Amino acid sequence: MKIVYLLWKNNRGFHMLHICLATIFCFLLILMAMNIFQSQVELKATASFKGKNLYQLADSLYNEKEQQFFQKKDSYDILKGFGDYLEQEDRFQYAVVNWQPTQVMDFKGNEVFAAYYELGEQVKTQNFSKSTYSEVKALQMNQGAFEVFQVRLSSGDSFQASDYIYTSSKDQIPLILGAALEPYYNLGDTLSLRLYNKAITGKVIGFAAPSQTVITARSYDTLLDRYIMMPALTFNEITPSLLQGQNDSPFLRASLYSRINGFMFTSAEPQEMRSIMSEISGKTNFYDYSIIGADGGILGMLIQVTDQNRDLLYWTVAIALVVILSLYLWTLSMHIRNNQKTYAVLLISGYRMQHIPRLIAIQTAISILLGSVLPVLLFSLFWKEAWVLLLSYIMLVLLVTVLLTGIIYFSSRRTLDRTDIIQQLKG
Amino acid sequence: MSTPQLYQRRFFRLKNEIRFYIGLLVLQFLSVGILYFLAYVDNLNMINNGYVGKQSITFKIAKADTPLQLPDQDYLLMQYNSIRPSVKTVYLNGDVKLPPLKNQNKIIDELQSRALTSNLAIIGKQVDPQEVPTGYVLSGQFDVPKHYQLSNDQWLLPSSNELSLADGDMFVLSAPNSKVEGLVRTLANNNSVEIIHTEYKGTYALLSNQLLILLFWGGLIFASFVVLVASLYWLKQERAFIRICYEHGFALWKVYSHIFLYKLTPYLMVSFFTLLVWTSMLQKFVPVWSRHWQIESWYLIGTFNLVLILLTFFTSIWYGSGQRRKY
Repeated sequence: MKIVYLLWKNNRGFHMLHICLATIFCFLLILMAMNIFQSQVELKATASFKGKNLYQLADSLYNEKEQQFFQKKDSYDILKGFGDYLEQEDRFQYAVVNWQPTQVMDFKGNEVFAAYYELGEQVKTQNFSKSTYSEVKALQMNQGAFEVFQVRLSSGDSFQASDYIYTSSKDQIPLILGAALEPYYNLGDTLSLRLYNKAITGKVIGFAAPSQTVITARSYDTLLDRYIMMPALTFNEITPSLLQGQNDSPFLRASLYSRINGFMFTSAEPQEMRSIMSEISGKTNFYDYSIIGADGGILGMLIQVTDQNRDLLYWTVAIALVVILSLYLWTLSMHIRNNQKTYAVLLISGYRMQHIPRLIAIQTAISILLGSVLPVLLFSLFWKEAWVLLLSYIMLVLLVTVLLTGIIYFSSRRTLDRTDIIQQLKG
Repeated sequence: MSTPQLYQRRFFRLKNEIRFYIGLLVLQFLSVGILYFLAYVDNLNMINNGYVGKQSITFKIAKADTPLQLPDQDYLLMQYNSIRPSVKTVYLNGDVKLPPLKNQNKIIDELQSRALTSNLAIIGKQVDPQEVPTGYVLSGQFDVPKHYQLSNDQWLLPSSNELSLADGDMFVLSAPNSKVEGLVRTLANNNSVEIIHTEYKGTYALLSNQLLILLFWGGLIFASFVVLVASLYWLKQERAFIRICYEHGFALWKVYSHIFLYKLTPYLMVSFFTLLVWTSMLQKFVPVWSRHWQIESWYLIGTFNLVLILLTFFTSIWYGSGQRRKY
């Protein structure tokens, strides 16, 4: 060990360069591990709808049809019953992602959160009882949607089953904010909202991880980053007080509508799907809807894009690993060739030929291990929870160290066997 | 050793240098390859994002008091209105790469030779050909079976070059080899412009894709560092020569110019030549949308070579100074 230190002291500059090189090398290793890890997460998100068909439900209650429907005494119960049935059905997965701009009082975010910002429109503001409300992007989602799209949170909690149920005594609903809203709000903050003209308080309980997409009726790749997500509300029962509230705001009716305009993910073919739906209609007495888009084209595209990205990723990571390893080996071999005279001196001072490759191997291992420290420190500052990743990084570093040390050991032994040290010593 | 002796090539033999020449050239190929690859991945992401790239600028011109002016540089301009964003009026200029099309060559020929009267339309797979507005001849389809946005898009390529806000007040401008901001200013012609920060969808939105790009920038830093280390080892070989020259009383500039002339010049010449071939070959055979990578490559390799020249200078001083007796 002492000789390793002496050699280091003797040629500090180049050894420092090698440690720097090893640090960058380890940074690249950690990036590769993160890449593969992240791609697994993304594949899991699309895997839930692989091989499935997508159907979209749309109610046909408008104008006269709507008036006619609500003349029935139990019309609200029928709507609610239909929505409840859809959620419980196990022949398809039912996801509600309702694109519904919501008014927020004294909104802290900038103009990009405006409901129609991407189409060049300004934030729409309105005044209610002396407060200014801005219309911002929001989604109402049910539990099925969180499951199908595998929505991940970066902090906080997801919605509980009870969060989806609205009662008149409840004055607060939970909210999950998109990643782009993270600088503006904190966990536990409350927002005064107007949802379908009804004043309601929202409490931030979580933030979504960045760069996640869901399917909405508006766009098949809606990025969650700029959205406020709220539960698609349902009711335990339609109470008279709820019905009375109908006069002030369309809250009850709109909430019930939003729950029946969802997406169904199933392996069932269109014919089969129609028979399932007519069965549900018979049971719930609700017939005013249509099923749209019974083709898997869109889902296929979403899956293919992720798969294509994965293929590109795996190939390039594999090639990058080989290239980077060989570049690193090349610099090590330069180092050995450059130090041949030093090794010759070591031989004179009583070292045996077998010792030298071992010495070189130890030097290599030390510089890689030293280089692997900084990346892992920086990494643990930013990614706190992914211990699987940390473990795989450590494994990767150890594997690479063993591999490189092995190669260096055997190749330097061969090189030394070939070179005529005696000749070198003579001059 | 006399001055004429110093001016002979014999101190540096090609056989000894060739290993480093090849090594450094491989590193140069690799670094340029990384820059190209980044442009290639960006091109793929751009197709997934409806042919709008990271460098593209989306903006709105609500009112035009002075006529809008199309720039002279190479560009691709999409114009649409917020009611039907999937129908885009597209203006092209110069050598720009189109998204993958069925019968690509035929369409490019048509574009180049189109008579003043023929307005062309290119549509995605999901678009009904009946929807193409009258006055436009359907001439092609995007060959992008996997990409949602372009599959739903209609590109209308008018033969006239007169921009009118009647076709839409939203614009997306992309340019393969110039700064887009400048082109937007030219186009706006003093009218007020509202820049819109759009979301990046498709593969741009995948975190793994963003990490991949980071990985390649990291790879570039690694390669640059290897260049530095390799150059140092390469120059270190000459420490004995430098010392001997100094002992013989040669001036610094003489030693330096000798090393520069016989050790560096062959490499610099080959490096320049291969860079020229390599960058133009990649763009010719596998073209990508943005050509910024070519300029970046020239800067990068220029920096590598400049560092090499400077390192040579400092090594000549370092090993020549009296204190460094170690070989």
